[in-house]
Amino acid sequence: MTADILQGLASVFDPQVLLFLVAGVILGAVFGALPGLTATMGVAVLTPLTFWVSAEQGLAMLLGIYCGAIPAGGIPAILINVPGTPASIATAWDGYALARKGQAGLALGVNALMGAAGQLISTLFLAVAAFPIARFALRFGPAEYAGLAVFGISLMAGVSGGRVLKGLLAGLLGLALATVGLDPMTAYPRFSFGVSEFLDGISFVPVMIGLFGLAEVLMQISEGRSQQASIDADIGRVLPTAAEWKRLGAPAVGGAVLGTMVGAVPAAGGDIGSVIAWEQARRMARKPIEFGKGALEGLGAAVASANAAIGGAMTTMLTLGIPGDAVSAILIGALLIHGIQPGPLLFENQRPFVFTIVFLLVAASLLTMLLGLLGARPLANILRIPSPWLWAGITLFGTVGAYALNNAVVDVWVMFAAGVAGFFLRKADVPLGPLVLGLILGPMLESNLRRALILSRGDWIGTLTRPITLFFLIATVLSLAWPLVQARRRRRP
Amino acid sequence: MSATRITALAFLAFSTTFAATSWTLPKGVGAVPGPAFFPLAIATVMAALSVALVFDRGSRPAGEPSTTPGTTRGFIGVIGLLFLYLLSWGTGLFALRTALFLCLMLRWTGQGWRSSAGVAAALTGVVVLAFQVGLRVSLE
Repeated sequence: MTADILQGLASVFDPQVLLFLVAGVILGAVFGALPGLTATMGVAVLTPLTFWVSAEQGLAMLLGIYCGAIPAGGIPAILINVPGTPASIATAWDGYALARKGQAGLALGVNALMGAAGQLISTLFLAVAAFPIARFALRFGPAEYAGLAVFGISLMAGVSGGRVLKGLLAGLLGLALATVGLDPMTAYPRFSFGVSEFLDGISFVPVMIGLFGLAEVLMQISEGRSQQASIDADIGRVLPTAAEWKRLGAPAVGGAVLGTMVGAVPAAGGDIGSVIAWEQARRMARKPIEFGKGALEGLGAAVASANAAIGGAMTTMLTLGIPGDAVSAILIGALLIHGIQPGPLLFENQRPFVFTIVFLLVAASLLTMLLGLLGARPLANILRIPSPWLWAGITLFGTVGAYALNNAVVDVWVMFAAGVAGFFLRKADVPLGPLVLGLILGPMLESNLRRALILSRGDWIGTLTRPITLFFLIATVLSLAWPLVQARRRRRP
Repeated sequence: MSATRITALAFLAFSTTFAATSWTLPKGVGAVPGPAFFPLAIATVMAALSVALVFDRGSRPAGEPSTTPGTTRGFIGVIGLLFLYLLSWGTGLFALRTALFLCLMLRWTGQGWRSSAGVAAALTGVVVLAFQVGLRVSLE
């Protein structure tokens, strides 16, 4: 184990890996700081750039974007009350109030410091908990994996904000798209319609670029969401005083623990985690009335939780092969292209790589903190870039990135179709998360379900009532029923 | 007709087409499910949920629009420009075609001619440098 840890550490200190990490953190900060551009979009659009480098270098850049974008999303939330990423919604509640009191610098400093604290605490969870979880997951057979995949998709549909039916339909659409290509068991061609490139299935990355890049650009254009903020040049002191540190400690640690747990649940990310943590900190505060009016405790809890969701999501992704959120869904696709299959076997066969990921996350957290503290003012200036420039850049990088993946024009058209479809689905209030999850989990669900049925000689009851499978299926029913029960309660006068 | 109902009918149409196409695939023998098994299962569940959505009163209160009103002209124009740009893919002169596409897109989204041309040239330069020179991707 020690040799694996040292090998993982050595990989991170490779100058080229560090260079990619720094580039990723800076790019992530730009994506996070600009309202409308998210961590998901950044990772999706820039993933093709990583295919020409080693897995460590590529992952360094993508993790850098992920870790850099989430705290940077707090910058516009604090300065102009517009969250840069969904995870920074709760950051705006107290952060913007602090900025209005003339303490924008302090709010940005807390954002950088507590963001790093959240990321580091959740990375510690990943390092400690991932190996036991992966060992447990090794007991899973085909039936258990099929149950887990169904549970993952249902969870994402369940948390789709009262849109359970639409979420499930989106998940099924993703599963349907995943059936394109050769049948995983018999290699029989399905739905390829004579296009030879489709025999390998629909490329995952162009779909992601379309859904999260092009569709978002089209949404913003259609809603006329063009903006160019004016920022006050003087933001004041950035570092908290000793007394302020004392006030921040407990809420931030509590927020980080909550964020890690929420992030580990498939489909639930920093947006949900930060709101829960903010509410929890308010309940436990001596002066809850100050929350929403510039309470440092509220800001610390929200920021730590939003950032801690990263480690939680990475734990689920690495141990079970199930994405914890949309970014980790894209990371799975990127890892697969580098020949790395996330899941319990990764912890048996490629331990040094697991530790590389852990150390990359630690390094990214520290770099992000430094960037947040030293670069708060320049990052704030990014908000002055007009939106149409960004739309043009995202469209171009998305298009060329999709093409560069396989040098195939068909991928560009897939990206275009996914973008237009994603736009209309979003207009129709259909969540895109379950679609992505269905696309990723489709092959896993189909091959494991069919394998389980073959092993049990077609015995459905026997397959579905294996203890772990049954647990996942009951959890699936509960995760789908709970939002419906809640919606019915809300409608009751 | 409400947006939800149109969405439900679109999903229903997709599931019906998907089921019809899946029906032509081998269905398997005895306990061994064939290539049609999974797609047919998806299509069946999707059709059932689509029907449920048609009759769903929805969690959204009646009368509340599901989307904000916006500029239809803007996004249709950008989709059209991108479509034409993609149609011309592989015909050579990548840098020129790209700069022209970006310039028109920027102009369409409300930027002045001068700034559109400048940003288009800069973005094209970055992409050519990153992909064609740096990563040796043939964009022509």
